[in-house]
Amino acid sequence: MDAATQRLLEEKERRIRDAVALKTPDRVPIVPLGDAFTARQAGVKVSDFCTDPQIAYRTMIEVFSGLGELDGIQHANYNVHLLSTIWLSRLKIPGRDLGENDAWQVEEIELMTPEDYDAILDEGFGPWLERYFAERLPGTAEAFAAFVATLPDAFAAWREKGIVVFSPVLATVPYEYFCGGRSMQQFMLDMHRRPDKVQAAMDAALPFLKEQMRQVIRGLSLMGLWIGGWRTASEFLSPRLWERFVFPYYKELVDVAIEEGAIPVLHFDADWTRDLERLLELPKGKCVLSLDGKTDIFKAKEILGDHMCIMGDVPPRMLSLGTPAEVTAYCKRLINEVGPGGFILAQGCCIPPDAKYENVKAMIDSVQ
Amino acid sequence: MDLLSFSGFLGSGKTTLILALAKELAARGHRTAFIVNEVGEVGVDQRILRDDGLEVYEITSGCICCQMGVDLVKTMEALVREERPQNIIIEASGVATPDGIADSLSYYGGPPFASTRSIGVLDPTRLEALIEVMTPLIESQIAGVDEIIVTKTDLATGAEVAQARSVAERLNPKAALRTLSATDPVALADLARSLAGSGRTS
Ligand SMILES: Nc1nc2c(ncn2[C@@H]2O[C@H](COP(=O)(O)OP(=O)(O)OP(=O)(O)O)[C@@H](O)[C@H]2O)c(=O)[nH]1
Ligand SMILES: [Mg+2]
Repeated sequence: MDAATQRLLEEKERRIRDAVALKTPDRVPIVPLGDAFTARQAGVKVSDFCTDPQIAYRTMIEVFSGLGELDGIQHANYNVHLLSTIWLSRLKIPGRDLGENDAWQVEEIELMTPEDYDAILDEGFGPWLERYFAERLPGTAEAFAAFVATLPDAFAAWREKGIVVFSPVLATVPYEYFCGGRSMQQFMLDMHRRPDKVQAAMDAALPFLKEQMRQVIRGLSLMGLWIGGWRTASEFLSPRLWERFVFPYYKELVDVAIEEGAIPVLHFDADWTRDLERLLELPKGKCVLSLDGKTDIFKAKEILGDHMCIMGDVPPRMLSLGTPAEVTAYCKRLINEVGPGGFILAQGCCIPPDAKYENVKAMIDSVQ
Repeated sequence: MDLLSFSGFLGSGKTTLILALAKELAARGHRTAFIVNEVGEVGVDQRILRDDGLEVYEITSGCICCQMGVDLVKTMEALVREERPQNIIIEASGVATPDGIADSLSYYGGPPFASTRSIGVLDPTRLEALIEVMTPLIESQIAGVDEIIVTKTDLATGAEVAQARSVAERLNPKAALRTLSATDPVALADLARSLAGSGRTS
């Protein structure tokens, strides 16, 4: 890497770190994320993009480096099998089960049974998980290993373009694993019928997930990582259950990430407005709360503005169906009202596959 | 063109009700399009439905995610352009809310609907459990709708049905409230009659 690129990277990294530390950088950093969107823009088949991690990161870099001056990228690479590793679910994969350019899908079926809670307690979560993948999701572990093996090259390639790799790995709480594996419908009933068993299995899973996260942060020298929340959102769950099955587990994951020197990016999809105040319990100036357009980001600023960097939240719908003028106007409002300090501009969730190029560009350019 | 949208938790009985209703509407000569916005498997045999005069459009999404609204709007615009149906029925995913659907539809740019009506489906057999676990979701699936249907009365006990009715009345006292079993042809015919052209004119 030449000295100029190195300097550029340092400058961008400082800008992002300043935002996380609740300072006001020279300008608001922009750190987006897009996967199938880049395949579509580059004319790469989604079926190739989502199954071949070499193709995926090259496509992402090609499209994003043409879109304007990014400070960082959230994920450095993509592979569809990652979804199975979080939600313990079978997938419908473009090119295999679907058309070459269709959107991949997670099958919402009961692949994990109530007996699996006992098996987790008997065997330990790690061994159980290994067996689960081998028996019920064959090929997943191998695909995941192949994906992880490409990460160092992918990181280097992004950096070569002067783009900071911000949060390229994801971790989450046991709830997301079980809810995906059991199917949402069954898991909701589990929390009613056998709450103690569910909690015991979660408590058995947590140490494994913490240790795995610790090793990944060390192994890849991560600047940050996603700690994701999808089905755990406040909009779905009763407060009492959220207090019991959701929040304590996030707290522990966040603590490990911070201990290891990584920035936890709370990638929280859906509406978390009800519980924003609880996030004051997480360490100040160390985390990022990344919202997808459903949580009221202005309210989040009001409650958490002095405590936690906020990231987001250009709605995916606006990127697909809106106009560049609308996107620019919304980004300016975010920069002024949620920023300029303690704020990172990004799309909410992920740039959708059919986002308009000019809308994504308008988002990226709006920080200049 | 009338728009009906159904919401209700996963497995509450939306698809069953919609398919039965669509048949009744078809028998009355209404051309109906059905957009199903599933989290998982759709499990609808589209060929049979087409023979019944019902066009089915599937929207599936991996995560419970933001992309669905976009697909809903695009699908609606295309089918309105190409098919000009008299009725469009939307089945919201089991984790979507009527507000979320309305939010997505605010981007709809096709010709306006003569009327719109939102229907919340409550499954009395699991309500006690679900309302304990998922209070906010179940409440928001019911709170804003025009009509609430307590379904599966053939499976539920009298006490379960009574509880579902009282939850419905508490959360949304303004909504019309109906109790039925999707296995009862008379009740379905009655529902079809009342829904055909019953929406709020917009
Ligand atoms: N006995 C009986 N079974 C019903 C009735 N309505 C639905 N079911 C059954 O309940 C199950 C779920 O019904 P669906 O219509 O698929 O429910 P849904 O709300 O569309 O489910 P998702 O799309 O997965 O959210 C199916 O097995 C139906 O056959 C009813 O009135 N009586
Ligand atoms: Mg259904």
